[in-house]
Amino acid sequence: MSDGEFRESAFAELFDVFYSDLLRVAFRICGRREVAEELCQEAFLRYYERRDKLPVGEEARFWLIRVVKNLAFNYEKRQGREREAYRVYSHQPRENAENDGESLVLTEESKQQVREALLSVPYKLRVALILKEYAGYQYADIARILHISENNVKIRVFRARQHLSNVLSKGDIYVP
Amino acid sequence: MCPDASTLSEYFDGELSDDRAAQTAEHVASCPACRATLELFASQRIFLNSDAAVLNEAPTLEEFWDYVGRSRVHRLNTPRRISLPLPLAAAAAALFLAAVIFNFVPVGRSKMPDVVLLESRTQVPTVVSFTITPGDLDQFLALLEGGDASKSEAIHTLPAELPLSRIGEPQMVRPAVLKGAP
Repeated sequence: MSDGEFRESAFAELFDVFYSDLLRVAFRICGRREVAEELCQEAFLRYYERRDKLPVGEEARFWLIRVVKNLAFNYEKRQGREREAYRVYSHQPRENAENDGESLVLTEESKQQVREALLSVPYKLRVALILKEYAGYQYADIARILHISENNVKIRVFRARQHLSNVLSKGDIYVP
Repeated sequence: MCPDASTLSEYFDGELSDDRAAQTAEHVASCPACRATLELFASQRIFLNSDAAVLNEAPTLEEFWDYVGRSRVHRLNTPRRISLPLPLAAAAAALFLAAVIFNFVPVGRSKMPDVVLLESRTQVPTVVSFTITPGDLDQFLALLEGGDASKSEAIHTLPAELPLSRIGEPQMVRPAVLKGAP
């Protein structure tokens, strides 16, 4: 197998194994599905375009998360003001809610609550917490992905938990 | 003594060394406050994972290439634009126009008396010839200042009625030619 064929094969495998995980991480960072899909597709496209120079295996996953994280940060800056408007809108009572299936409503409400709780956590803390709680990475891996020290990871994860605790205990987000 | 909450967070994540984890576990077993903190972290984890069903479906590689094709076409067909808010664009245009008018229309210049530009390059430079010992900076400066080394600065007074140009930067040039320099 030539090097080019190996790279193609490695890319296909990476896509199959890692795309859905990356999509979930991206969704929890940015809070919107269509944006998360855009970020992931862009990240994989960039990886493919530079696949000859980029790492494979686990390091490739770290690279992709890093790209998504950076793209999400740009999105975060652009959407700062829009998010507040969205938050206000999302708290408005919905007329059709009672007509939906009960389980569907509960599922959607649960997603909404988690999304709002996560988005209330400052960006840097949120990314560290998401990589810990959803992606299940160790502090050392998160440190490599974010290019920060392990001690910094520890602090960010803890502060994110503090922030989440404050938000949930204040009742800003209703948890049944 | 209770470990701080950040250490409990580290313990909760399984990041403490074996020794410290054992110490913390022993402490937590007998400390309701620390147990409550760990239960809080656990409840947060359950809460965050209550949306576990989110985005379970993923596109196939073929769908990805389809997206790539569409996005590339979109990028090629979308010209790059630099957009400015209308008031800002209007203000920039007005500023540019004002600058053009100020620079090229002789507003009020016809009323000015004859202008004397402090531009010594139009005059014949004074050539000062001297010999200097290498390293004697004081002597060199004294020669440039007219031979009076006792004055640390020199003040030149211009005639009060001398009309000066308000445009451009006045310059006073005292060229010196060093002979015999290596």
